Amino acid sequence: MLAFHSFLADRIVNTEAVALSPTIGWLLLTCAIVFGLLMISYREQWRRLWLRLEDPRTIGIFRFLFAIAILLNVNGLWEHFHYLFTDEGIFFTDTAREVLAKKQFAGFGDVRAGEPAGFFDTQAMWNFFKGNKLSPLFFWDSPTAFWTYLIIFEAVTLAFALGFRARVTGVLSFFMWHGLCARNPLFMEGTDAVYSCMFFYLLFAKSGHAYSIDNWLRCRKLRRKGLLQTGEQVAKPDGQETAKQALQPIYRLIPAWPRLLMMLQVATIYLFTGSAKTGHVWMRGDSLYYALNMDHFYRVPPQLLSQVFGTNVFRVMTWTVHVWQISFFLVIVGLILRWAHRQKFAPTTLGQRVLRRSLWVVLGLLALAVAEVAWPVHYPAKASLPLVHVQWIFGVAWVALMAVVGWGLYRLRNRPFNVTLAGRRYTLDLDWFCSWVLGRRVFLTLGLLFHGHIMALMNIGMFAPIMMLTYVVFLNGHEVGLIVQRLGRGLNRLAGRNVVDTTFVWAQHPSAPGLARDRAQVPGWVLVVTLGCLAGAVATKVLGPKTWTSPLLWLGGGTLVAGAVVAAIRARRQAPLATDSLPWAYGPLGRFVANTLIIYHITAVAVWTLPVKDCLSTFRTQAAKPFRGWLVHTHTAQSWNMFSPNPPRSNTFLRVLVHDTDGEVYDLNTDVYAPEQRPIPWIFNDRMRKMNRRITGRRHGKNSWYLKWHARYHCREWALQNGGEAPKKVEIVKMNYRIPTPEQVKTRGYYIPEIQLAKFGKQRVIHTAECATAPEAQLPNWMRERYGLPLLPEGAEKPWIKHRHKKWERKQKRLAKRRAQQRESK
Amino acid sequence: MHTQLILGIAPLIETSLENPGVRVIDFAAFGVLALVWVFVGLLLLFVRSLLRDDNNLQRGL
Repeated sequence: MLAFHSFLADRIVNTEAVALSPTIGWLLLTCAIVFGLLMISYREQWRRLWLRLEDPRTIGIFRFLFAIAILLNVNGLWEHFHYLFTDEGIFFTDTAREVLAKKQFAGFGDVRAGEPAGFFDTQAMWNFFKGNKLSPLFFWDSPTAFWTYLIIFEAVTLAFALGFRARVTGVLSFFMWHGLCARNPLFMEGTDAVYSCMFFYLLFAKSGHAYSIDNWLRCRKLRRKGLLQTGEQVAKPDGQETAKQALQPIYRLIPAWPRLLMMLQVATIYLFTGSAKTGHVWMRGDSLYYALNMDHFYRVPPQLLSQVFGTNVFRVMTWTVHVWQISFFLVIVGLILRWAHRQKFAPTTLGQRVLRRSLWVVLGLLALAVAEVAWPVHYPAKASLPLVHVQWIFGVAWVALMAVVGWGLYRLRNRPFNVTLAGRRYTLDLDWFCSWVLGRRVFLTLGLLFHGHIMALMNIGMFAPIMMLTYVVFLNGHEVGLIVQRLGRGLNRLAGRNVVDTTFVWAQHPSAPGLARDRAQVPGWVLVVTLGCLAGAVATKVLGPKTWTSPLLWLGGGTLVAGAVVAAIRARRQAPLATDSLPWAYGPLGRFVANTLIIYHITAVAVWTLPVKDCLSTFRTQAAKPFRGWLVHTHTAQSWNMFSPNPPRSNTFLRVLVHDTDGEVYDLNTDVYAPEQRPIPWIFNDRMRKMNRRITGRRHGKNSWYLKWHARYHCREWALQNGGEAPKKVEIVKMNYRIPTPEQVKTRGYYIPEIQLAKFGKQRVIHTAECATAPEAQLPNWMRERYGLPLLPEGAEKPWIKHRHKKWERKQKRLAKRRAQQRESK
Repeated sequence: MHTQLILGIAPLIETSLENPGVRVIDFAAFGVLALVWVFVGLLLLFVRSLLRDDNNLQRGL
């Protein structure tokens, strides 16, 4: 919070934008209400989409690949395990508690300060468990403890990959992975946030139902009893026939909603990052050039390539990627439109059609209103065209676009276009439009091209692989089954014999008995009342009377729960849906819980990812408050500001200089300015490069807080490597040089980074640690004992004492006093 | 040439080929780029063959 306030203090606030913020806030709230009403009007489609069952093979293959990628991602840190996660690394155990999880450890004693060991009382312990950094490495982090933790993590994650007790091993792996991240997030980057979000959704999927040891063991057991579908039953499934024989399928259907959440997450990443790229370098199309020319990341020198392509091909690629990122969500629109079209829902009444169309129009106009209101504070003062003209042009274009979308959808659905090309007649209907214009073949192929280039030319670790891996969730299980079958055939051809059985196995038939087919449905009016109560609660919270807020929330929640209970009880008396109808993922209670979770989570991510801008500043933080706990604890709090608003345009390095007691200065060659840190081609990622960027980076006008701890670590590490003798001081030097512009490189030829750094590089000391006096810069006696080094005399160690016990007692007294006052006032 | 040296910019390609200082590795990025396109091409051929042989691949959700 302190950092946030200093951030506000450091930057210039656009007061005009702040003044617009409440108006934009109300407009956005109205948009949300209208969208909610729209979804209520589509409630049958909504629940059919989210709460259906599907083939488990996509999630099965994704689980395997994802868990392997998690292992690769963690093991990619192997050179820095000691530095990051042990008590001999950058943070001592208690320092890690203080700087990384201060609130959680407010009631935890530091024995070095003579405080009682462990938590002071049960309140202190509860305080710890309330937080989201629940890592055992905050308690046990000696090298032995860490390696034990890592081995267990690897074993559990491997078991998850293979689908052994997938539910349990998945949850364990998730928490252990976050245990590592919590102990030291210095290494974390956008890549890890992708893993974090996708892992959370994967936990909800029944990922062990396909391509797993769990399913293999289950099938083996059933086969022995003669209860497993085989031969014809698998190749040409008939739900009723196999049910008569009481046979079980190889692939049981699983709930589809976790996969859909994953797809939305991928679209969110791209939409967020694309929208945040508002800088002039992106507009000029030079981002790829600068990204490729960052010395920390390229695999082979890109300077000559940049000279040839920097001002032409790279620009086209940059603009293409930018547009593709912003419009990526269209692939989901396409998938849902096509799905709904193929489902052939019951025809709508005229009233329903009018209501839906009206709501769509209102939503479109509200979105236009947000843009028009925000234009003045986003428009450059020196622009040649007057603002009012731009607003008119935009407004007319927007309305025209709405009309084209409405007309186009109507034509594609009801009166498809017919085109004759080279004598062949093509029907351009909604199915065609969703497959070709909004199709996966367009957006995922572009994504593979983009990430493929990044992966081949730049070494940014596991980012490109995880993004390409997420594309698997855009295929359904049947498609994955076909691809696996095709790969099996290829393998057989290569081997010259049948190595694998390539019979296509159908998943469980939807008409199979035992699946949920009840008619329970929360009535539309209940949903409208709930939405109205929630909107009212927000309005009263802002405008008052605030005493109404809580009752409105209770009324909304109570109405929803009561509506769901009544619907479930009624459904018991109703005949189930016909066996040829698609089954539900769960019974009424499961559907209610899952649907509430889905809506809450989508709302939470949508609010959380609102841009951090002045024109949203008066409500953004308050609006995110009800969701903060959920997102932080589930590790799905997210921000995707990658290379935005502009990519860096200089190469920055971190240099560590050690001054020993004889006055000799040693350069530890810690970054790629040193030839030994610059292998070409650069194959395996080293996260030190990213960490160096973070340590030397400045945020809100201040140096990174990691800086001093990094310098102190080097004081200790030098002593450890030199028989216990500490150096005099450690200096952290920031070196940097500007990357020549694409035009300079085009006209003058490509540059050699080493020459550029030597001739034009700047360097300055950004931190100095005096090893004898800086807190925790001395190799402590407990470590000296561990390595058999001479001990320091008493008083030579300068531990960082936080006086938590005193602070805790003071706080408890304060709270007790306040409680007493409250009792008296009552 | 004088300006180029001051700026730390290497000679233009035409002259750099005669320059003993030119590095073969500077050309490697072109090879990497070509490999990406070959890989993507093969991938697209695979997907195309799947689409052609089995319409079931276009099932979407």
